Amino acid sequence: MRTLLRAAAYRAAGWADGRAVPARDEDAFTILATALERALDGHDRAELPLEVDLVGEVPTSVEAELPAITGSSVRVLRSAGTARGLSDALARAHEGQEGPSLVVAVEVPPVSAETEAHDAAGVAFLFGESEAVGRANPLAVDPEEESAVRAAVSLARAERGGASETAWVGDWEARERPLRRPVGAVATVTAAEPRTDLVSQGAYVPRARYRENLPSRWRFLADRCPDCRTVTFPARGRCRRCGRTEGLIRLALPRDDALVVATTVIGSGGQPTEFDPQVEALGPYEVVLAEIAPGARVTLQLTDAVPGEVRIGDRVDTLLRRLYPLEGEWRYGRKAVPRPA
Amino acid sequence: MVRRAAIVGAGQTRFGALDAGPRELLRTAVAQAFASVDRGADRASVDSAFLATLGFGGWQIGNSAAVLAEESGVAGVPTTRVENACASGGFALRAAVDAVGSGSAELVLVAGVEKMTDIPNARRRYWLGVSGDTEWERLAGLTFAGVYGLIASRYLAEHHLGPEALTAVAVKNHENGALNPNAHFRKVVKAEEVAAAPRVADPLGLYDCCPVSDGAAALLVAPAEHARRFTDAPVYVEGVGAASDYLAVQERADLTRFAASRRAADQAFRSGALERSAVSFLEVHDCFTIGELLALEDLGFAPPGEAARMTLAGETRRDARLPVNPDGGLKAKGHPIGATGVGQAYEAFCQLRGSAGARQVPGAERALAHNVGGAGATATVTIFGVG
Repeated sequence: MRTLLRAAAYRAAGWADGRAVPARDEDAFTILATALERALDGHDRAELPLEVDLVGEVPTSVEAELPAITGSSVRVLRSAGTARGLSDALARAHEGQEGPSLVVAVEVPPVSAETEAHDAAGVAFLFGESEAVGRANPLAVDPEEESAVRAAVSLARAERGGASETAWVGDWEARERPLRRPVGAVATVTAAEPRTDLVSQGAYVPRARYRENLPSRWRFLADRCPDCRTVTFPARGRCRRCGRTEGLIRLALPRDDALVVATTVIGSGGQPTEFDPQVEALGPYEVVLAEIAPGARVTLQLTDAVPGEVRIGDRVDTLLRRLYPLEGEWRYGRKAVPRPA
Repeated sequence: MVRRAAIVGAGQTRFGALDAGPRELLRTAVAQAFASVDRGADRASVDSAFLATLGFGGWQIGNSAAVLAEESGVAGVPTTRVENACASGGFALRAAVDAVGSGSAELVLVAGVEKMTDIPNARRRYWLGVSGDTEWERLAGLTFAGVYGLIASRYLAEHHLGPEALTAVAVKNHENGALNPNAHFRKVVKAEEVAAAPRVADPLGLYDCCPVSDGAAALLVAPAEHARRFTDAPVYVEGVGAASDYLAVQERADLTRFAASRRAADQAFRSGALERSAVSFLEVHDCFTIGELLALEDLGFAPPGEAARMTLAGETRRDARLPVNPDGGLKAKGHPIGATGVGQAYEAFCQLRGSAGARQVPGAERALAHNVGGAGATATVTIFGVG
């Protein structure tokens, strides 16, 4: 029987006027991606295709990026960002044909809106055919609710009682969030402004090379060698120890709870030119080298934190965020955040 | 039978922010190299040339070796550009030694050049990262300062040290640079100034970083068996080693050891059948102060963590037991990328012939030069002697 397998929420990291707003390196895509990857945790990514119903105003450019997050081919459906839209999407997911499906509601209200506090957030529901954790009954969606995201949060709150906590991921309850730490300026950059003066000079990573790395960059994909067991990260289709290329086992390394082995704080012109606008707006930033699995390390910029806050030996989680704009579009990658105690 | 090689002439421009362009820099260094050959060398007898350059800023990235031949008056000879980032010079010298050794050349011109100060600041910082891993480190917001910052943080943490040893490297190398008429920085700095400088990639501050410099250096390399046709005081290449490592530091198991430096050093000492104790002084790759500490350990002159103590104790000063970077190093002499490794050999040439002037290491008989590409992805070690 087809039913709800997992639900996840993500609220934007910024905080202004009593509501969650996107931090400077967040946008609708990163919020959606975070809710979506949390909902897919523990799910076998090989099941194809995955149906994803996007509820709310999400740029069409996002559709092409979904497979890099889900690790599967994706069939995209669209629904309006209202309670009705959510209700219809959930009903379709319940009725769905073979294979898993996701309903993802995302909303990034304009920061200047004068209406009541309204979080920038994303909520994702994963449906499939194994043990149920709830129903996410489309008939239980409050038809009076204007926002699909708020309707989704209410629905999840109402249903989650008694269900396994691990199937409900994210901060569903928090109404007010005193910041654990300053998050920097809130989002003022909504579109990637082309910096033509910075294009095609040295250290230029073409769009195709950036995209080639997305599976390892976004999902931490690595290759495990069936012979010598060595884990090669990033995955390059070749065992770094014994050189084997056939039969490597591709696996996603953990996104969270990485061990920091080195740190630096970049300031006073130590940044690459493409990070100039960020430094001008937010000042110095910290970069860490973190071990995400034995033998697998990655360099990550730190975000949602004070530069210098994270030290060697600390643990960090990682989130998909904006890196920098190039040629009119944002480049995205994972960044580290301090792991809550 | 491999023939040994000797350096029979060497020249170097001043390093610094200079008016001269790359062609003039090459012309000057090459002219000096020819002028330094006591019995004279005929330009027509040069039969091979190697140019070390990154092509910083985009000036003539392709085919730039032809420019070396033109500016040296040897147009027509086979000429090759060698590019291994900051280790280009060391690898170009190695190519010349191989050419002489194999018998394919009888007199090889090796030159290194970089022109770095003639482009706008934003473009320059773009170029400072081109030799690092661009797909991962760069996208995390790192240039080489940042990568060496990560390495320094790890080194200090592993050995329970504060930044004082890094500071001591900067102070010592500025002291040496002050005595070198070719150095970019010819002023002494106080430890307090170094410590108080703006942080570029904490724990590295501005004074922990080498400058962005223009400059060129040139060498004439001949078979050792014919060296005395050119001079009574040839400087022999007694050992050569070279190696590589993963480009990105995230793919290396150990941050505080450069495997490429270690391998190159072992090779160089083995090929020369030499002991560490035979070396009079070191020219090491101190693009950042932490680089000098790693080098002392990687080259086998200090156990892990001990380089910091040696430096703080003054044991690496010009007049001490093991002088390191008597020319000021990259830190004070300057770091015109392609010219750096060739400039290290120039310093060995001057020191071993006793012509280093105020910065002369007394009784120097054998020198080791250590040239690193980026944050250790490539490295060469060359041992020079007069015996």
